[in-house]
Amino acid sequence: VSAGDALAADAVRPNRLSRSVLLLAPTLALLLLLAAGLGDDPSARPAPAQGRPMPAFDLSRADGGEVRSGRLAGHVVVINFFASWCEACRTEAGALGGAAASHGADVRFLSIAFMDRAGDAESFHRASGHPWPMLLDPDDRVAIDFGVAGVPETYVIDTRGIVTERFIGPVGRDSLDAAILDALATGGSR
Amino acid sequence: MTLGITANGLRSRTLWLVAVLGACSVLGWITLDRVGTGPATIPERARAIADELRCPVCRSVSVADSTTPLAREMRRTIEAQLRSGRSTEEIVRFFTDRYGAWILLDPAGTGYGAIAWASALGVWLAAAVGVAVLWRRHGTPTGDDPADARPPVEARR
Repeated sequence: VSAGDALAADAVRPNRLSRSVLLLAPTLALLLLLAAGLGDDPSARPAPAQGRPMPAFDLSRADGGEVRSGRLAGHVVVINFFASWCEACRTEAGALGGAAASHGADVRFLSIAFMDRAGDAESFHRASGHPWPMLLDPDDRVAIDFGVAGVPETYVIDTRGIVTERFIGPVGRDSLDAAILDALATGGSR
Repeated sequence: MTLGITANGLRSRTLWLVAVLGACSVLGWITLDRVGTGPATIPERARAIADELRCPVCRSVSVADSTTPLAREMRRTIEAQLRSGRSTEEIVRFFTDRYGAWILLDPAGTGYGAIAWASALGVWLAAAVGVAVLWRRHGTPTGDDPADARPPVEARR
C-alpha cells in the first residue's frame, strides 16, 4: 500500500463517519421524540368540555321524575359517570359520598349510568349508599356530549354552569373537595 | 438504422419510466381516495366518517368497527346529522369539540401528529433520494463494465 493510498483512506474514513452521524443523529432524535409521544395519554388531557358551559341535558331519574340541566343553574354540580361493571367506580364511592356529606346543599351531586343496564346501574347506585339521584342515559348521548371516554369520570360545574374540572378514573376525596371549593369560589354568589 | 442508446442509457430510461408510472399510480390512488368515485349514499358517508373516528372506549378500534354501545350511538349520531344536512367537516368537528383531536384516528397536523406526518414524509423523501442516488451510480458508466467502454451502436458502424 503506497503512502498516497493510506492518505486517501484516511481522508475517506472521517467522511464516512460524518455521513453516518448525519444519518443516524436525526433518525435517533426522531425515534426519541416519537418514543416520548408514546408515553403521552391524550385522553388524560383536559377535556374540551373544561372551561365551557355544561352540555344541556334532560334525563330521567331511576327513581322517577327527571332532571333538567337548566334547573341546576346557581348550584355547583358534581356529575359522576359510572357503571355497575366498573371496578374502579366502587373504589371512589367513599370519596364521592364523603364530599357530598361535607358540602351539603351547596353542591348537587348526580350520577349518570354509562353503557350499563338500568337495573344493574340502579342496584350499584343503591348499594353505594348515595343519596343523590341516579340518571339514565340510555343512548349515552349525554356522555358523548361531555366527551366521556370511559368510567369513572367526574365533572365539576360551577354556579355559572361552566365545567371547571374533569377527573378521569377514581376521584380522590381531597382533589374533589379542592375542585368543589374552586367551583364555589369562581362561580361567585348565587 | 441508428439507435444511439447505450445499455446504461436504456436502463436509466426504463427506471425513469417505472418511476413516473409509479408516481402516477400513487397520485391516482390518492385522488380516488380523497375525491371518491361518485356521490355516496348517507350510510356510505356515515361509514366513511365513522372510519376516521376512534372508539373512545376501545382506543385502537374505529367507531365503524367497534361493537360497543357508545360507538353504536356515535354511528347513529353521524347518520342523523348527515340526514339533517350537516357536512362531513361539521360532524367531525362535533366529535373533536367533545373529545379533542384525540378522537381522530389519523393524527392531527399539530404537535406530535405533525411529527408523525413529517417523519412519514421524511422516510419517503429519504427513500426517494436513496433510490435516485443508486440509479445515478448504476446508470453512470464506471468503466468497470466492458460494455460501457464500447462506443454507441452508431459510432461502431
